[in-house]
Amino acid sequence: MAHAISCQIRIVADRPRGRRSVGFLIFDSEPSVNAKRKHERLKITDKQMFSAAFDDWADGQVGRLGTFHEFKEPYNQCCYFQYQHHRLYGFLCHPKQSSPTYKQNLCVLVAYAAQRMWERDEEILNLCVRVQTNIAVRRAITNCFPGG
Amino acid sequence: MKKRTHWTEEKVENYLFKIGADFVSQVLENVSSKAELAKNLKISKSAVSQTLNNPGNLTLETMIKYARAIGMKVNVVLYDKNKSDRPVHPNIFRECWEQQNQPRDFFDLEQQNQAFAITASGKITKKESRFLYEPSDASSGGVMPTLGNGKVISAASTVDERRLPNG
Repeated sequence: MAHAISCQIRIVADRPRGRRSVGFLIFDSEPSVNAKRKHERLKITDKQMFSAAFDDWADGQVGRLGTFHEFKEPYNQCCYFQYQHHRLYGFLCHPKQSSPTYKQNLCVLVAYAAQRMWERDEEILNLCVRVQTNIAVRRAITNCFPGG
Repeated sequence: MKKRTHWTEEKVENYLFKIGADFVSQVLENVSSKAELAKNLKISKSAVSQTLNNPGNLTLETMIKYARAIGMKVNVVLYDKNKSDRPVHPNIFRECWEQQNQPRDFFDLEQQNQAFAITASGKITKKESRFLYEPSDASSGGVMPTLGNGKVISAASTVDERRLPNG
């Protein structure tokens, strides 16, 4: 019997009928998908800071400077949340193609890196691009947002 | 699907952190640099950074001092726990207050509600007008959310002192 690939999205910030959600990707067969594992090991205040940043982004609040960043082409679907040197990389997608009222985005957090402001890790960005198109990941997103 | 508990509901410390972090984000929005803030507070820049990097340890006293240093006031708002699944950002409350032309007391608020009732069509009753605000710009419009009789949740928000005639 074939072993089912364990892949799921664990939502950590959203609102009922909200426009944005943030979730961690859990993908057992991809060891480099480590955002959730690494996030769990952060200091409690760092985790709280990220939780506040996820809420802000999900709420459309832009006041907290320097916590959410996007990239230009060719990584324009990629993004990261930052607090001090901690970065959580991920990608943005529309989880409900069939629902125009669900206006924006799901931010799927994929990998962790400890980096300074000016640093950029192409390897992690390529990982985000790669997993974004993975069929198991697409299915996990659909399962997370039934009716999508 | 099982309803997820918001992280601020798990521990009081988390809720305190969220209130503090929202306060810090407002301070940073209203100051050009931490150095300027330190100068106004007459403390070192590192002391400012230490305080702002530990939002969970902020006290009301510290909040008031920091707010004063940037020419603002602090308020604490209670609102109905059941109206939102997680804390509403204080900027939402401030935006609503500013859209209401910043009433400073209940007389101001009532006056604005009455003014709206007079300028609007006769179909709008006074009761309904409580939930509306008079747009300062004809092209804008909207609904002022009601604040329920609060039970549990509080949020700190800063008010721009520079907009008030007598502080």
